Amino acid sequence: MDITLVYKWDRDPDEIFVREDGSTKLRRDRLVASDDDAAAAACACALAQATGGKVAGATIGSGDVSWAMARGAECATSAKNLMPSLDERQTAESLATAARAAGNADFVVMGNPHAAAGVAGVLAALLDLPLVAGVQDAEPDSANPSCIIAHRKTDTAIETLRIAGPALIAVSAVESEKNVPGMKQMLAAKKAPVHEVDGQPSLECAVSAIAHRCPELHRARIFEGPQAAQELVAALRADQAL
Amino acid sequence: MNTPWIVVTEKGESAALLTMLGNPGNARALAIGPRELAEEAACGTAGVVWIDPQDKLAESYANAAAESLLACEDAIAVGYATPAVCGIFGIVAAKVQAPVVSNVVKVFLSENGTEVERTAVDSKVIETLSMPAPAYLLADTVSFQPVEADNAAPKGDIKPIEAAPSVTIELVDSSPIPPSGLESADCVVGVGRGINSEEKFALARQLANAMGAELSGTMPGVRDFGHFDANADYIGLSGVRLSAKTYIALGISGSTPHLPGIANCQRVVCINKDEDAQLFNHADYGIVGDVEEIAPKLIEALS
Repeated sequence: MDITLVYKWDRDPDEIFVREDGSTKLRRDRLVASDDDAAAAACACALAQATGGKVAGATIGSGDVSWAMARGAECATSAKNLMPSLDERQTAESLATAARAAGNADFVVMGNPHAAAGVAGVLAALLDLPLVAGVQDAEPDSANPSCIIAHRKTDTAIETLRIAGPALIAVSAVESEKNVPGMKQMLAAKKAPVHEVDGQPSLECAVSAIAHRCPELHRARIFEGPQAAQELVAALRADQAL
Repeated sequence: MNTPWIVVTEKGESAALLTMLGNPGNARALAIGPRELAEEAACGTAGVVWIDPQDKLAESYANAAAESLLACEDAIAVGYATPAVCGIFGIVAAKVQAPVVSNVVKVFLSENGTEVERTAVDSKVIETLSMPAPAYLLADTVSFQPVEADNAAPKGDIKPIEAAPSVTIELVDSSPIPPSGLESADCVVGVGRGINSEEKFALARQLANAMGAELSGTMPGVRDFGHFDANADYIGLSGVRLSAKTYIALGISGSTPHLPGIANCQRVVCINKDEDAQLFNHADYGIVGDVEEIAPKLIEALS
């Protein structure tokens, strides 16, 4: 099973400095892989390894392209002049440029971050694939070589799904990355082939930011001093919360 | 004027989405689910397009549902980021090259397009965005939790749509999640990344015992340090949602995915040595300090 792994396509919120008026400043304008990307990479590599296939990465923008190769991808396609947009459709169009250039695959696998939850659906549509979102893990279907068996959790149930390829699988992390690559893997990944594609950045974005502010904060009542714990317990008892 | 739409796949979504739209009288609904879901969506809307998936997944009908939205050229559609809604909005937005925006908390409809407020940068910023119609908007799940519909509101017509499901996805099994005890617990102690040692976790357990509380935490707090069973439940957007009287958060910064899990708690207490921890802005009470110092004092105060 050949897999295209779409990764590293959003900014790290920790790299964004928020001023008091809600305006922001990027400390470094580079894209990073998320926990969801890591879960997607683990899922993609498990599928490929179990079936003798390969994983090819597809990414956009600045940042570390070798991230996917350090986690098992053989190569990557990068459209480094395309960056994420306020309009998630445009972000998906940029990712589609990289994913198409990465070649045909049985499944496209990507992280499913809640902060940009609309990207996966548009990317699936642009690649003419059905979307299966919220997946937590996947394995080949032993009874049907063109299918995978995936699991996901809803509010009330654990669903077991049989998904026929090709499809776009959006993976949600249920834990932080467990097998973080070591220095040896990271150095080797830097030597893996990267195919650069010259994506055309969209000149116009349909979405424009016209104002920003910090949310009205309801700061907790802070207990201080040596009696803080006793005062907190007393407050909770007065509220009949204990 | 744009035509507001709500797209629902789960009970309780309709009223929250209509609130986000400012309860316009002319909103239409697209419901994919059982008849009761369509009836709920009919409250406060001018009409419902209904697809009954029966024993299939809602997303199997994404293409048919998308056709209903495509028929409306000036739709401002809102929905929760469920797998089905993400698929539907993706199909429509790709086809008509319309914008898609996530984490929306408020929609202002006008003649000349739409303005929305949405949370960004881990909920630290509220941005106002302007865009033309049609547009497809995904709700912020922290601000807009599903709520009971107002049955007194006028009811629109329900128009069933016959549609063939996609054969790509087959629901092989759906196993109910056994209750963990967290959902109905009166008191819960939660641990986060700050509880990163056996010693700190032992204190968290002692505090939970002293309160008669359940012990859980954030996804990293539960899954990353080996304190809990491998498949133990965690609290948050993709985990358990509490309705406790008291939630005491130890070493939890308050990242966006954790907050939906504690939104229905009556009293939230944040104990963290970082005074800038985001959770202090969502808690009722707090103590800035090290858990190793504070927890023993709390245990003593409770005894």
